[in-house]
Amino acid sequence: MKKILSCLAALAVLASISFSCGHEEAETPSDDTIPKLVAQIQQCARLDLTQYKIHVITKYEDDGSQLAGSIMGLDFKLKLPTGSRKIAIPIDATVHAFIDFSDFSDENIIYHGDKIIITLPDPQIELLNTKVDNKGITTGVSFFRSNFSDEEITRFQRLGRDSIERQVRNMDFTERARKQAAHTLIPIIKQLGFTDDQIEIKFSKNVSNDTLRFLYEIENQ
Amino acid sequence: MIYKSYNQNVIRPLVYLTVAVLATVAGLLIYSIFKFNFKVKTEPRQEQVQVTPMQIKSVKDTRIWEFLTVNDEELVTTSKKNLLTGNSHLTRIYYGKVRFGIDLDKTAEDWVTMRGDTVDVKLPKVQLLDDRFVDEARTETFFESGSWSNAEREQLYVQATRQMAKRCVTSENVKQASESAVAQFEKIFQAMGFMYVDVHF
Repeated sequence: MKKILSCLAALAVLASISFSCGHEEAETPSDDTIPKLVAQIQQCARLDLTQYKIHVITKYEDDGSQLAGSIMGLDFKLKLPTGSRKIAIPIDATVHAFIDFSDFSDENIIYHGDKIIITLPDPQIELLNTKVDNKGITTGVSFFRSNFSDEEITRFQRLGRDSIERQVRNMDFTERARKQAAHTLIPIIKQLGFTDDQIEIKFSKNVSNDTLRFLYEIENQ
Repeated sequence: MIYKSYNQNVIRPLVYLTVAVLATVAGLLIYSIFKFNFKVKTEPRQEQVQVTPMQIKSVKDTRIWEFLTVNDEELVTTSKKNLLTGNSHLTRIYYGKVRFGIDLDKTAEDWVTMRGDTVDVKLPKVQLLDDRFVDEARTETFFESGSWSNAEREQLYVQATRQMAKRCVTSENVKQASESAVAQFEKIFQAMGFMYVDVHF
């Protein structure tokens, strides 16, 4: 009896897929809590050094459902004539390299005779904002399939954004940001009465052993 | 009369034949379920999501100090009436980062000067640092009914930008950023060993 019922259910599913326009199954939200809509204010001291404008395209594609089963021990697969759906979403993003001066203190400055040595925190990189080219979104949906829902579109956009964040972490931005930091800070220090050869700017990471030894000797004098 | 008998003679056997075929198919199906272990199911679609490699469109060196960041979330709703489908609603949550600070390119040439034992720092006015501050690709759909065009989504983005600006670009935040700028510049110059620092706008 159970087998008869399951067979009838399978036939009903088959009929509903084959003969209706079909509504895409809605994803159940993973988190059903109402998000807190708040503004978080944060005081900071960041020297913005370089801005990168970045572009990616998120592409999604699926083919139609297929019917799979077995009869007399033989497996079969039958592609249902429901068609495919495609979407391409262009996304622009702004990324910036910066130095965080929040923890900057007199420990970052060493005077050696008439020379000033400033050790800066290493530059960091961060995604600032993103803009979806809404009018440039291209879709291809077959007649028997439903259009992309807003939920799906925003999900694909977030995947594109995640990909940007991952790729940005591997970007070689440090050298340019360090040079720009020096270009910004040296003129300020010169206005305090120092000359070019009296100013040395270093970064906390990748400091050579010679420099470390030099700094150690100065501190212990 | 001839026509009626023709119909009866042709249609009736066809009906019998169709019923017989359907009964045979149903019988074979039920028989195969018990005898040959016939199973059938629909398999999920094969989905593919790809993101193209990142293209750097432009690089710009800046000399901007950021002193206040407001991380904001905005709930933006739109609705429309349709004769066929009734009322449609779309609610999205937009995220964004509104930054305040100063642009050193707007400083005078002698914006840092020594006045006796005091460092005199004249800063330009605190400003909003970005034209675009919505992180649109991070947007979440909160509720939707009906279908929405790309132009309507763009309109929703514009509305989110307006809402975010209204909430975050306030004189209080500008004042807070200005106070933060003074405090941070004092801290940096004092770290360099200058006891007296006068920071003003």
